[in-house]
Amino acid sequence: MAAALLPRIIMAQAGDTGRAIVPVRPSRRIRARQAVLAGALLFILGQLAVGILSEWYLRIRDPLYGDKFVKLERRLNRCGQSATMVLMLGSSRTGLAFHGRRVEARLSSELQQAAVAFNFGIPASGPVTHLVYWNRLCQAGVKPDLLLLEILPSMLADGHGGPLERHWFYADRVTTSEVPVLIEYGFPERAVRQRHLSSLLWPAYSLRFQLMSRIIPSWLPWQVRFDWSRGADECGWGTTQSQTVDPVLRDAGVRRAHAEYAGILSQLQPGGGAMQALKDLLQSCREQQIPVFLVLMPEGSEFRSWYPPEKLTTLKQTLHLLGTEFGAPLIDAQNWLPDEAFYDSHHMFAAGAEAFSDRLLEEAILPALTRTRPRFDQRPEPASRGTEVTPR
Amino acid sequence: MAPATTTQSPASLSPEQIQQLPVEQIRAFTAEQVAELSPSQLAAAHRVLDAARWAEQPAYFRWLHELLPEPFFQTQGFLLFFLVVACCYWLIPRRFNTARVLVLVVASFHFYAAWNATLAFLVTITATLDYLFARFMDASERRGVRRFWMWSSIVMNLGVLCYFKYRGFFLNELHDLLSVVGLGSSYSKFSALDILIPFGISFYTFEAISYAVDVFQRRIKAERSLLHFLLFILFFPHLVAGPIVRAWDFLPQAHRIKRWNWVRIQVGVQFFLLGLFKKLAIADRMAIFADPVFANPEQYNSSAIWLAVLAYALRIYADFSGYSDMAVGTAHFFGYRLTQNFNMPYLATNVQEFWHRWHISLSTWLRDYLYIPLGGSRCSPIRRNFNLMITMLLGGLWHGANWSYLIWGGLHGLMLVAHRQFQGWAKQRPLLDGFLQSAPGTVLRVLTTFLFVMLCWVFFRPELTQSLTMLERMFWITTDGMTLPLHNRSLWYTVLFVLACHLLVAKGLWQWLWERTPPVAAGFGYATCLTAAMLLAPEQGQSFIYFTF
Repeated sequence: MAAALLPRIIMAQAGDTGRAIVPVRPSRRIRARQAVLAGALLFILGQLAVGILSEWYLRIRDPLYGDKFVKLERRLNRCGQSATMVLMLGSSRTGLAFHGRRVEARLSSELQQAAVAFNFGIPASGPVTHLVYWNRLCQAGVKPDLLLLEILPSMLADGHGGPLERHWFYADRVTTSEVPVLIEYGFPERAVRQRHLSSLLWPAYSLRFQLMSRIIPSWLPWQVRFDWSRGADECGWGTTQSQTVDPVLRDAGVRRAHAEYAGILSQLQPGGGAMQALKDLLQSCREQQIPVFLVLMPEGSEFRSWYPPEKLTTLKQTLHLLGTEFGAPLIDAQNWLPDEAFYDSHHMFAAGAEAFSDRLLEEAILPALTRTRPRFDQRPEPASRGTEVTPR
Repeated sequence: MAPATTTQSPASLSPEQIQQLPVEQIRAFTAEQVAELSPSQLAAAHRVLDAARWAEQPAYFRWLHELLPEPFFQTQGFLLFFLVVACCYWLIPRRFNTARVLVLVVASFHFYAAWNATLAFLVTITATLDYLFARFMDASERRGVRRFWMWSSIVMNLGVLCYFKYRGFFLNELHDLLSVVGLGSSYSKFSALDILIPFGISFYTFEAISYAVDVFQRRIKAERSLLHFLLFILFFPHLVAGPIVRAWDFLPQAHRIKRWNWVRIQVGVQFFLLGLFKKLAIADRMAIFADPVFANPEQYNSSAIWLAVLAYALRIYADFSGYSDMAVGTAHFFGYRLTQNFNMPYLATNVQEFWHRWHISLSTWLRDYLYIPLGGSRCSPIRRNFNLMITMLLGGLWHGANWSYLIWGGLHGLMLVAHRQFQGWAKQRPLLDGFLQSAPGTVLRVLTTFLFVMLCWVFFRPELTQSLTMLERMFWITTDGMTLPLHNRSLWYTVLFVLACHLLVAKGLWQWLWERTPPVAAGFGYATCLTAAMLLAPEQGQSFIYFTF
């Protein structure tokens, strides 16, 4: 195929290559030069355009955030600025668990006013991701009446080379101004700077999964797709395609979860940049007088068995202490649901999400909002809401 | 991460745990233990051994390795390396052609040394010896002496090739044989960790052998300049995966003075972009379909396996022809023209034609230096078929020291023999022959050839048991098991795209369009091609399949 793509001048070349190339007309040379230079220029301009655009438009750089934020904005606009707002920030577990629409309906009838319950669950996110997202939300003027913050225990691990979420929350998902935040919380500086720089220089390559997820997501393996948030409902909740699972697939899912989590949980030692990010996020909420609940999400019995008992006790003690320090009580929902509610022992089906959301509403959200609501009756104007967290 | 204990089997450890093991413990893995490791575990073990090896290398080469960790054309490291070399090369005035050659030799040595410094010296030393043997050969008129030097060169090259590539296979087979007949062997089996195959060894060995034979047969004169000869062997675009160049083709180019030529640069850009697109957007994308199925065929249903084999056929073509195109393109930037290695092989109407279109530099080498010396086709039909079988079996073995490659070569040999027999039989039946030459008959022949070639690709992997499992599940139709890991749509679109491109080129439409395309539109095409290749690149770039041959 390649041979036929050659310009005629090269095809005319004799078989024995000792001979010089057939003389080329000057016009041919000029055309060749124009084509090569035009190609280079157009490529560079294209990369520059996408690179600059991605700095301003987060739906290109971080569609997981950008798409959910657009849904949140639409929801807020639809329900009005005076609506009571509950926001749950967490990982894919939250994404599949917090049934915003269901919570919203109950909340509206109980509170006798419009309510927004939004699920901001983003896959493979941990405290640093949540902090970056919280900063973005604050800058955009979003101030919930209640924040539910998922604690994914593995993400609190104080490992070598920085927080565990560095393996998923790559620097190409943050803007230039957010790069120092990642570095401050322990992400490896050189890798972060290199990755971010390459996302500015050749975004067609560095941001290819973000871009492809928008154009033809079915061409990407699920691990690298960025259309999770687009598939969520108007309150940010999403669920699995099938609500039952074949035992073979369930076993495969549990094995995958075991490979991913068991090793980390067996040595779980909360600390480092991840814990610091969590503290700073809680501090920001305290400064803005936003009530927060820390939520340990429901897990299947098999998943729970991967925690060494002493590690789990230490973790809960740490979280209780943290909650006491920042006024953010811990909701321990680990045992709330039976094994059938999960497809891989920690991600829920819709039925599990409904049960979890109902109980969360009854036991935490409603009591908290009815008690705290008078303090947040008049929500300040967006411009005065944002208080960005700066890393220590 | 829990630290691994010495009593644990390596297969039970995660890749991360293997990576934390001391190098001595990894070196102590037995062949049986290594055979149980998954590809990711094996890769982790290799990383530890590589790190240990690099720790012993001089700091200069370690630095080089950091700059250019992989000798792959599609990496950022290579781009930087190429720019530096190209600038140095073209900044030297053209009257100093030898200095330019020196730049390329030094760059090529560094290109290889960045992967393995010790082996870079080995390639350079054997190439120097080949140069000397040829000079000695040329200095003598006595046929016996000349023959001696030719065989010295061949034995040295084949010795190095056998030591690195075939030692493990043959000694392991001998070990098994001795165990079967009840005689214990005095050595333990080689594992995949014990064997380090130098990149491209099969390619430059064949180049050196063809040079020695050509000088012996007086087809060419021995090269007088060591520098130019080193460039013939070491020239980095073709060093690690061909095309297999011939001295009569390359050396005159090395002596010719090069001028900057925009037409040539455009051709280079075109080839390089085409190769890059084939590699990133097609080959690596098809690997997403094929690799998981080939690794665990017992977990997939029949349709998934058929589709995975189709994806693999596409992958191996795009991977190798993509590499060849990038190599040809890179060489054009320096004013060199390398042999075309592919000519739309999947449009071949029979297996013989397939071998005229697939890996052309290898098939012509095998024809010239093996098939014809064996007697070629100017002998009895039985002898001719025997020659074909021997050539294809050795061709299979050239690809890898493994039974599956041998079977692959044998199957192609059998198909070539069967095609010859059928051709003779069909020629005596005008009606049948007429149908086969018609348009529907041609389509049928292309499809049949493709089907056979595709089925043979099942064996083009080192794991024979997996190949057999695949064939069993392909023909023993089962719906049990998983489907492909990615939506079939992208596979079918890619197949259709490749087919459309082939037809455009085969019908001459592409050439017609090309000649009428304004320069800016062509530039837009280049930018689009590069952007599309980058966008479609998968998560982790795959190594080139042919680098291991």
